[in-house]
Amino acid sequence: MKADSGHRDAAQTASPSPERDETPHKVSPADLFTGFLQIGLYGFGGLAAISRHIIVDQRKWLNNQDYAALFGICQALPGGNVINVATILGDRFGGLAGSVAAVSGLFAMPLVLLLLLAAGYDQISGLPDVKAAMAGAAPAAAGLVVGTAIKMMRALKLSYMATGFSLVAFICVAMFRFPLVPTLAFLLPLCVAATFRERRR
Amino acid sequence: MNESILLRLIVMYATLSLASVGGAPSIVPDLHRQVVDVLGWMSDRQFAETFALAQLAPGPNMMVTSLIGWRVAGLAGLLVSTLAIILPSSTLAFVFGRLYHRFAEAEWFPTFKAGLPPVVLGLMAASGFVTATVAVHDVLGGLLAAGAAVFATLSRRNPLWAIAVAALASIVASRLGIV
Repeated sequence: MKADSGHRDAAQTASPSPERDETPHKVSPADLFTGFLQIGLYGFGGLAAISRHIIVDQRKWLNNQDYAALFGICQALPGGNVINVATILGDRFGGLAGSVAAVSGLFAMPLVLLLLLAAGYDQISGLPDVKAAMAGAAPAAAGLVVGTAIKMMRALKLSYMATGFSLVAFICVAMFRFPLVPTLAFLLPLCVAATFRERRR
Repeated sequence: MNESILLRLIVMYATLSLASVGGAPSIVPDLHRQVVDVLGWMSDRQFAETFALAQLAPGPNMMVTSLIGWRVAGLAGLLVSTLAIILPSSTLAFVFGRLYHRFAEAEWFPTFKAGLPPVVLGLMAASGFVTATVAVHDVLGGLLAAGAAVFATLSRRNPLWAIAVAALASIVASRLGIV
């Protein structure tokens, strides 16, 4: 989808940094709300990069290493990566209230903007230029997702075995249109098990 | 009627929420399968437009689910969808976050984590492919989709550039009467 979703970003941010996670800051739910409000608002075309920038560089809530570790956990969990970051970081600083504040902050402005955009689009979607623009934008938005997947596959240098799993997942969902849940329930454990076998050798 | 739609949204999104390893891209093909093919709530064209609009707005790309909720059931649909897609996965993240150090430092975790991207990236490619099949109606659309894919593969620029250029190219083509 948006090009910057995570696997690549986490690899880049993994540069070691001396200090350990002491969470020295007092971060209130209000801080969490405004911090993630910024992330949501500036996150045009993908949240991964801006999320690292705000959390590590600007607010200094975490160092690079701890952010990369947190992001790694969030990628392994279901849910949007940055939504998971907001949930876990919010809890670490402010418990349940912190989590709720961070996730609400992340969604608050983007939801309003998306509705305005959609409502605006509905008003003018009959205009020839707008129709033409959407006829170009929609294929491009789709193409970007394919390109991002290819870019991330290349960056990860997948083994033949791993590439095989990518292909099977693609064929099951894109060609056969299998439902996601059974496909995942079958493929994910198999792929994880195969990865364990591959690494043990 | 409206209540049954809301209930349907909740069940669909709560399930997909727990299956969304890798985030929104993993669930888009299934979203299309359910919303367009099974439930008939939207046409292919509306789905493609909704997807593109969600890409243009800032914020989590999971919001495509909020917009679908809004399209099929108004404000209630939006709220219900947003909560249903966030709550299950975030509850799980909340619990895992508290056990954080056990996972982050466990010996098996890096290998476990390395086992996810192959499947997740296959799903991501499928997501783009399925969306492209409903968004492309002519040769120009096909070229723009392919061009955007190449752009995303090779360039590190913000992906929104590709969408903007494609929209402009399409306007120019239609004004010149090419398409």
